[in-house]
Amino acid sequence: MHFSNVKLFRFASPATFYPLAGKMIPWFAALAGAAVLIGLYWAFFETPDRLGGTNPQKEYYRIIFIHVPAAWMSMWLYLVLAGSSAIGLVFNTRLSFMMANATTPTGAIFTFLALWTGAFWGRTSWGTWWDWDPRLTSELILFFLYIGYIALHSAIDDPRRSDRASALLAIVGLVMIPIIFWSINCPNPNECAALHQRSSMSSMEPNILWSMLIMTFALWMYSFVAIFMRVRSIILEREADTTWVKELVAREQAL
Amino acid sequence: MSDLISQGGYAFFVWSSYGMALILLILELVQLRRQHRAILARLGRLMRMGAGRGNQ
Repeated sequence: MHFSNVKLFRFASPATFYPLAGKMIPWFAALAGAAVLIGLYWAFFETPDRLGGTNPQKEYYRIIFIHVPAAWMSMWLYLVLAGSSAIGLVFNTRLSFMMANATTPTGAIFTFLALWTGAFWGRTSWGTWWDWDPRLTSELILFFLYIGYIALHSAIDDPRRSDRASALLAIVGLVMIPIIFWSINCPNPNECAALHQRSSMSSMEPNILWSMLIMTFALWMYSFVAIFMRVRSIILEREADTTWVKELVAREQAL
Repeated sequence: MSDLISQGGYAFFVWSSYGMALILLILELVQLRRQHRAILARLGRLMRMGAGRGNQ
């Protein structure tokens, strides 16, 4: 028992995680590429062109296959950010803060993409690029939280202090996630506008649902690639004075 | 094929969405790759400078 704990903590050491992440990146990249190809093929060739029913949609609804996965990733990556920030604050593990720092830019990109693709869908479906309704506004606040984390972190020079300050911001901002979720999956349609309709997985056309889920898987795999690449750079910079980084750089120079 | 591109007349909206996603994600990967290489090169230069001082 004691031994296995020791083993687990070994992976929390930057020196162990750096090569491990390097080995995993090509696998995640291959999975992301394959899933994007399958997902987009399915999304554009195996789905109906138009949808009838209570919410009629023309071809523009195909924005869903990037919009919903990007919006999901914007929230999940925030959970990753706040989770690793919390672990960093409680256990004082260096790698957790590095993971939090590495997650933020990718999360901000997905939040921006959710807003951007939502604007193009909104223009076609609702006739407006933007509306100050709860869903759109709360997603915009999430974007500002990501930007705020980056700004706060870069404003404080001492990395240990900036890690802790921005971790606290990330945890406080966690309150936005249920707000976004409930403003989209509105429990009472009379209380919030029914623009985003409460969509149940079981009532969706299976081809649409599967394309969307495969694209979500693709974006998860992409996120692992981007976050691991970024955390490797952060590890190198922060551990530049250690023996293992010096040995690694010497090996790279010899190649 | 032209059906795929025109998307029933909504090509601008559909491809603006996918295009922005493609551009941002590719740019992110390119930037990350450059950043990693730049850091390795800089640390290598610093080490050689340190080694040079040591030999004097």
